Amino acid sequence: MRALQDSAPSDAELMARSLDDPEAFAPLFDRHAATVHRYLGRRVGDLADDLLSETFLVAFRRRASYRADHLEVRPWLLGIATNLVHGHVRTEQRRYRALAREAARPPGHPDDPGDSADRLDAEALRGPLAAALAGLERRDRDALLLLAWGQLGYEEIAAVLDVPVGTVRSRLHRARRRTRAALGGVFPIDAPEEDR
Amino acid sequence: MNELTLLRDAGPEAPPLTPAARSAARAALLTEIEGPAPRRSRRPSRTSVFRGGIAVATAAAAWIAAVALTGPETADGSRAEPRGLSLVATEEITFPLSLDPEPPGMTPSFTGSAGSTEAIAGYTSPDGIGFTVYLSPEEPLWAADQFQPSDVTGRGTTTVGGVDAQYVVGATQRTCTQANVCFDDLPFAQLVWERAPGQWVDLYGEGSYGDLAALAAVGGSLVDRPQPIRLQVGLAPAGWSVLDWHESSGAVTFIDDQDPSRVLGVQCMPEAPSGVYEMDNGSVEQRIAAVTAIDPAAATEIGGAPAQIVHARDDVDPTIRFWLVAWELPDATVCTVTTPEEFSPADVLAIAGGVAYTP
Repeated sequence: MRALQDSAPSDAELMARSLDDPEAFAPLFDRHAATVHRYLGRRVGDLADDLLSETFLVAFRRRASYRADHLEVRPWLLGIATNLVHGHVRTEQRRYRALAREAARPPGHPDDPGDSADRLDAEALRGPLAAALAGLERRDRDALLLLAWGQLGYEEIAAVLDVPVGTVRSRLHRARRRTRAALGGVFPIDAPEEDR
Repeated sequence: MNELTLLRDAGPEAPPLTPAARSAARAALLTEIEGPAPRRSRRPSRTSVFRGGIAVATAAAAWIAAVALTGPETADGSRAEPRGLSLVATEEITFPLSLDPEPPGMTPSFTGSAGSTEAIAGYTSPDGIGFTVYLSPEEPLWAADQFQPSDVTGRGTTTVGGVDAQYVVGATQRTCTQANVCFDDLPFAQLVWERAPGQWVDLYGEGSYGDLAALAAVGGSLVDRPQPIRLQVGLAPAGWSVLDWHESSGAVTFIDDQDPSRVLGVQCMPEAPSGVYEMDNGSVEQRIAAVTAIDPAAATEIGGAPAQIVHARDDVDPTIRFWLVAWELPDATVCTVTTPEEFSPADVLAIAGGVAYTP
């Protein structure tokens, strides 16, 4: 089984093969659907089910434009997903605001006193964090969430958003500064670092 | 800890990717991969050109007089005369099977595409529990492998309607969110069998339908009786065909046979359950405000309900221009029709007037 997995074609090979043999594209769904859905779900909630489908439909239709030398398939898919989220900006913002309201309610008593401190810390942060996301500029939020949730590097984000790396850095700087400002009064935040 | 760590650890969580949603997305992709060529049965009937058009034409004329809306601008800034279309009656969109008896209190939702034997019917009870019927022409070999191994408690063979079926049973683990909201174990079951030559059924149930015997009973009640989907589009331009329908997002899509990039979209979204903010269907005003208007929106009526229509452009690609009409049904369902800008406003309204939605 291991040998079979090791000999499986790479994502790029499947993409190239799918130009002549469209069915070769299907395994890319099996490999990346969970990752793409999780990214979408954190941004738009249940709407992720529909956008997951749309992401792979768009990816299949645009596979001829994929450039393996520029970007791996996973970030490419996350870029498509990000563009689809743009059509649902209000849904995304409503979700964050709703989560912020939900978190503002008094917390319940934890079942396990042993983890009460961590849980209360997390509960205290959920609202301000969601509110901070709702308040970010769309472009800044894209860069921040591709970094934090998509776990893309700066160069990958630049390729996905079709902007220079310097622009990515400035957007991330702005997004992280505003997020820190929104959270600073609730929870001590360490100095920023060059996370990847 | 910095804000990136916080976003990963304390940021909004994603809902789980359910087997049903995964199956639906995969089926849609496979349909796309197979290509649109064999769209055969959903083509608007060319022999039944809409001849009851007097009422439509009268209503459209009255509307144009009322709002004095004009067609899209050409490249030189002048206004092009919208070209009228020949609207034809469409065939009813159906799912090929029914349940006999019908499960009481459950609402079905259908997904499919024209010319494909792959189709999905999801049945949901008011508490959100239910089952999904997934039809495919080939054995869904991947179906039994889509569960977390730790969730599976049993696999084997049983019979459904006298036919051997492979089953998987199990339960999702109890999970709690950081806000201390917990979800109890949810039993699930899956049955896969070839119901008829070239018709494989993947039946997946949760909760009370996560019981193998209960799910097998559902499988045994499937009968060959097409049932109409809830959203029907009565009129479409001649030369356009239904592409697909996704009732979970309330959408039916038509494309131009000559240019499949030209899309006519119809959507009806019911009011979201209380507290489900991300499925908020919004209002007519919000739908209109969500697009970038080229011209001011105009008030009109669809089936006696207040409506608005707007000539708009895509937010990202301004060369993509379209018409959007939105109206609200008595049960707070919000419907929209989106067409290319080459459609005349009268055509857009006539198509909207032909939309029928059964809650």
